[in-house]
Amino acid sequence: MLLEKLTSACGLPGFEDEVRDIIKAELERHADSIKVDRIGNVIVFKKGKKDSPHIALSAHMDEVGLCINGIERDGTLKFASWGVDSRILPSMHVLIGKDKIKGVIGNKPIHLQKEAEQKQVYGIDAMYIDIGCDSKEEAEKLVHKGDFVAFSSQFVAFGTNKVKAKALDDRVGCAAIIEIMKMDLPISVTGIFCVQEEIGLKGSAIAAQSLDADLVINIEGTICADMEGIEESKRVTTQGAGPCLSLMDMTSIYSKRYLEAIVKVAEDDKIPYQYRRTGMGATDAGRYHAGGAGTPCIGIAVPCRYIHSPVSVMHKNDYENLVKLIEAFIKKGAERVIG
Amino acid sequence: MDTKELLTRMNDVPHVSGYEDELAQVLTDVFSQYTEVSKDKFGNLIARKKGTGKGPKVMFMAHMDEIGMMVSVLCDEGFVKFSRMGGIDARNMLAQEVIIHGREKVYGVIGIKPPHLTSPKEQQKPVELHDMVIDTGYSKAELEKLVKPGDIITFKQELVSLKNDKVACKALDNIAGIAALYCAVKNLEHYNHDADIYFVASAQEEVGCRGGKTATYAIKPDIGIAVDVVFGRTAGLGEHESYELGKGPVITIGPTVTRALFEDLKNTAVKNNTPYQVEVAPSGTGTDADAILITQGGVCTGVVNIPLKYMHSTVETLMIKDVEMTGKLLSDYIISLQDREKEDEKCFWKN
Repeated sequence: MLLEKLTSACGLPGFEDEVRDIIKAELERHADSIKVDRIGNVIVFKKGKKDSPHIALSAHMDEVGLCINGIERDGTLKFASWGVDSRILPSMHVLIGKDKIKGVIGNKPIHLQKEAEQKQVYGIDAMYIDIGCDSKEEAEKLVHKGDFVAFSSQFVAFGTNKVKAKALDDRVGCAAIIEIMKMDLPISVTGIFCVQEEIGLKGSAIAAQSLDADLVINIEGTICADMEGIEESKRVTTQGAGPCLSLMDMTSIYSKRYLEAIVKVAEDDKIPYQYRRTGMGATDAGRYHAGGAGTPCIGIAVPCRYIHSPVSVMHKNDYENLVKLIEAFIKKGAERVIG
Repeated sequence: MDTKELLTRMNDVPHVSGYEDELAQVLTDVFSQYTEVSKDKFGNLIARKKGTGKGPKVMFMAHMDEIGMMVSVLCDEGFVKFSRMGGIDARNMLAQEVIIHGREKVYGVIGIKPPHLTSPKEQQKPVELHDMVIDTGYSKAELEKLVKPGDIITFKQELVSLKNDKVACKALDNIAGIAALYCAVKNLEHYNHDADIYFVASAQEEVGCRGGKTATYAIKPDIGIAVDVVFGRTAGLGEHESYELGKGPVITIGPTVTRALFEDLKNTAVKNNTPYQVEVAPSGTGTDADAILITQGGVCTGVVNIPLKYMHSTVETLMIKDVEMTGKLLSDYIISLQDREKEDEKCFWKN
């Protein structure tokens, strides 16, 4: 399965090679051109029966993780993190660098802790990764400062149509674009697979400058807190209720005109959808709508529980309906509203 | 089967305290290749390797049970609340994968709210156990057909190989001890020993050394040695409380341990060039030895440990050669008992 292949690959910001290679191989026979720009974004163009309208679909290739920033005398590794709640790190299994060296984040056994210690969280400073090396010299042969660290987590199908994996944010977006670009499409579509979204929307900043499209549909795995004990108003999205349409977040107010157009397509075709009910978060749309000469954007996402952790969970129906809705929009809605 | 293979096989079956049956079955298959195996009423597994009748009755005991959880409540939206079985740091539980052993094996994850919706202040406070839930991906109606309160839950973490002969997984405490017993029985396969040996895989140690009590009572050994794990050395842990991986078995001394047996074990290590370390346990040992000592009018008691980092987590880490050296110490000790009763009428276990 494509999503399994994509989530099994490791693509930390700046090191998206494995994901890039999968995308290129998947779309090679389905595209008119595939280019990799200077920062590493993959730009795939597929000419439609007509030149106009021209829609861009964008997703990011990178995932959250850790970065090695020190090697200790006892052979353990210090690390930095971003976008991760450090409370998920104790007892985590990880993969380091391009050789995917296995490591674990352990901590002091409960038997030796004082009661007060258990009331504190482990700070990043107090944690380290153990790869089994016994000295700095030994570890230095295998690991280097600056190596990226991915969560070690397998793709698991479970429950009723649920999937657990790492990096659903945003391999769901990559998978959706690949699927759509393999279809027979009436209009021209550019697929943009960005690098370095998680560290500040870096790849899209560059992609936006050379983009010449009528509309960008930014596709994401987004936050979902529909968990036990969380009140309705804080849940943001609901799993199984369809793809989430963005209204606004920290970097964008999405185009009302196009939002209404995609909602109409969803309603005409009876495809379930929901709105993303928060202004938190940031996406590459922030770069597209206000970068270059400005391209209007809509944002559409699969709700992912436990996002930015090794055990992100999504509902397969949400993913399938997201693909269906974008396909319907490209095939029916786009011409009506653009041009 | 090599040590790592056996550890993998044991790690892959559930064996939470009181629910050790599946592991007991694996061990029946494994040990019955070498000797007779039986299971007692409590759930302990006993492999007896008979001696010539001229030596003492020696019991090696390693506990079978692992830490885990139990289902307490099925919530309205299909999430599962749970209780801990054994000492688990709640801070090690977020984002972990689990298996609920209901009518069938049900996969789940222990989730957490997204960081985007968590204030920096909230991130400075550990999530408490009663606020955690398991996400099984089912609705309550579907889940009720598969899971009920009281079902046991294990962590899902396969055995992973690290550098330098080290491995990491969820239940090395104490499948490592059992693997040491396995090494010992293999070493003694063709040896005609005087001692009558009982290899015991005990049940329910983590919740109070319960199986250790009943097995010792029934066997009534002259010498009882608990084989368990001890804190491995990591940054921040001192020499007085932790032991180095790769430096061999850790022999315990303290009031629980019979001093002559401690000396015997040390001498055996020295004579056979097995490196060893010494742990001081000034009160209890936190192992089955605490039960062995005070059963059947008192048993000569010893403790041999395997150093293990990150105890009671899904990243417990040890070195395979420590397990094998521990097994060798046990078999060498049996060999050292050869002709002892003949040569020394006042052997310490006869008092």
